Amino acid sequence: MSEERQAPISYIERITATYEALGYDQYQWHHRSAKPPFFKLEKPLAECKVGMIATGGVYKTGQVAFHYKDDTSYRAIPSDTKASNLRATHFAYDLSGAREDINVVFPIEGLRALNQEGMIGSLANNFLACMGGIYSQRAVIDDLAPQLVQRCIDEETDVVLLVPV
Amino acid sequence: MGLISHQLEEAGIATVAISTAKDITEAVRMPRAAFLDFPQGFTVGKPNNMKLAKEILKSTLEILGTSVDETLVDLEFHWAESDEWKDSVFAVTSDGQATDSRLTRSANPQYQNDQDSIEAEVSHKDGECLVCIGIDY
Repeated sequence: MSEERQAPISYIERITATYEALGYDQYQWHHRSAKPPFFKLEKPLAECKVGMIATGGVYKTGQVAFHYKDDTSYRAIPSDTKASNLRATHFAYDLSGAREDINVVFPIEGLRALNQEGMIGSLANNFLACMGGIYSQRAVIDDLAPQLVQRCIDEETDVVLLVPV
Repeated sequence: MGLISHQLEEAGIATVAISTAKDITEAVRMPRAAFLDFPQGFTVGKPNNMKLAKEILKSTLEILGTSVDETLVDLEFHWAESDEWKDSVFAVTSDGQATDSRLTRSANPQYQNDQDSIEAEVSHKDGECLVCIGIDY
């Protein structure tokens, strides 16, 4: 018996309706009209150094945790960190999965496995974690994103896997 | 994350995202993304299921080798037999009631547990913050 599938959730529509019902100011969604920049990868993944940026509020024990009010800092997490030393903290998503297995928001073990199997040439020394949920596009454009880009350049990363929550 | 992806591509770093929110990914126009029709908080699959995580990662990373222009691929995985889980996500009831399950937006660090707070204090006892940017010392 095949179940009928629902269309993907229209988050923008639903969150707009929820905020309306709650009497909140509306969140300013980013809508881009122009084509996005697109850098053509010049070599196979098996020869690339792969990094990761994840927005699930992940930190390593010993690091300062993120806060919940437009936190534009990031944490560099060594790519050989044991998964059991990683934590997740966030104000806006269901953390039950991440706290049971951090790999659902920060796939550090999966990336290591694909590196060992040869699909990925090498891993960046550090993966990068940030909070997301920043209610100012200006803060992302002028503060957070440039920090992350510079760190990826410093890490000599060819490719970045993005893991939003 | 869209804004971050654009700056990376402009800097000559190719990106690919895994997204559980297709409409948001389309609105921000991620250069390359895979859509996984799972609940928020489960971007790379289900807890303790490395096989699924690897399949999701492989399908996502493969886009890097095949795309020549803006690309959004639907992954063929389902969260459950039924899609009923979607009914309650950011739902507004017929009488106009909605709930806000988000936590208070405090500017203090929010540790998963008290021990992490103590460990961070030890790491930072010299007033430096190198460990947070990835330098273990």
